[in-house]
Amino acid sequence: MAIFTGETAAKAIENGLKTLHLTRQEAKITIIEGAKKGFLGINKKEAQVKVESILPQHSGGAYLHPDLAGQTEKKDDFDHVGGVVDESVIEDPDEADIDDAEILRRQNNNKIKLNAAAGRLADYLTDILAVMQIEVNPQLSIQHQLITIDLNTDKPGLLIGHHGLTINALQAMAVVFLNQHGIQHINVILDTDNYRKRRETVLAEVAKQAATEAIATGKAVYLDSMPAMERKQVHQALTDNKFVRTYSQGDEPRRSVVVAPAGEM
Amino acid sequence: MNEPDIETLIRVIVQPLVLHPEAVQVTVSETPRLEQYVLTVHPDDVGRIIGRHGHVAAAIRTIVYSAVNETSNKIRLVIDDHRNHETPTQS
Repeated sequence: MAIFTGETAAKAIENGLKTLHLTRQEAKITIIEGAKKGFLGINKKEAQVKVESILPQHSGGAYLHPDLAGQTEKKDDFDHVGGVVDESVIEDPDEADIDDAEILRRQNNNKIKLNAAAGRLADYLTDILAVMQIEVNPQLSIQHQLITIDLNTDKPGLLIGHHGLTINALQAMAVVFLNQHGIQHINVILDTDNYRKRRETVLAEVAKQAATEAIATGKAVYLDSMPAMERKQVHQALTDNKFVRTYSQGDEPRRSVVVAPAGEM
Repeated sequence: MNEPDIETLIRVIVQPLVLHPEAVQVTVSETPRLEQYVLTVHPDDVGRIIGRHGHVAAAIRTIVYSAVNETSNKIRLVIDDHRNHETPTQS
């Protein structure tokens, strides 16, 4: 619920939507004051508009309420701004009997919603990194429940940070951003310069060595702490090894994998 | 511009995540040892910015701290949780 200004009402709205990373359909827009051209620059006044998100926030099945979706007030000179309200997004959760066509239609709507959100997410990350003076060129790939964003940059080291600290923090922020824009239960993976793939190779090697050591010494091997995603990769790398068992110990963010000989309890 | 603008960075990260972007405030106070940035958001948005077990706050701090180069002052990001104003601190 923020107020934005601009030379014309249309420009003010555009400004507001961009700052909040929303599209025209996802915002409730109220004109507070239209622009005044004045006379010879005297009495000139910028337009003021209020932009509010009408996306569902942090609540599972909440969809756009029909009353909200149509609520865009129009005044003076900005009738040309495309205020097309997507009626098809509006759904009634109580509706029990739905046919196949309806399901398909909803799936498509969700897909469109997801694609739009992913685009905004890429803009959001680009904005953050631009302030950090890291120019990136994001490549999106969207699957069923996974968004992968490959951030092409000439400074991959800065973007990744010490042991992937920065890129993992950005990844966490990406999930928060999507939640805020009404999309839950989606995995986001940020990648740059093939970092995730390289890391996977390294982790597989670490896992193998730990397993060898655990079997040779008969003692549990405690690995360094790593984020959940990487721990999972270590566990997976050793699932087929019958001579060791793996578990995690400690509390985030210092949780780490332990590789123990299978016999020891 | 060699020095990344930390205040802008905090705003760019936080503003799209809150319900009241206009209430986001960042104030800077400098001491010889460090620059302290205090982030104030609308009371309804504090939870969003801190996150469960402070996960979101930790991620924001990581990003902000990583933007500082070694030669400049150390920085600290404080998130105002609006608690000190209402209840007097014990001890």
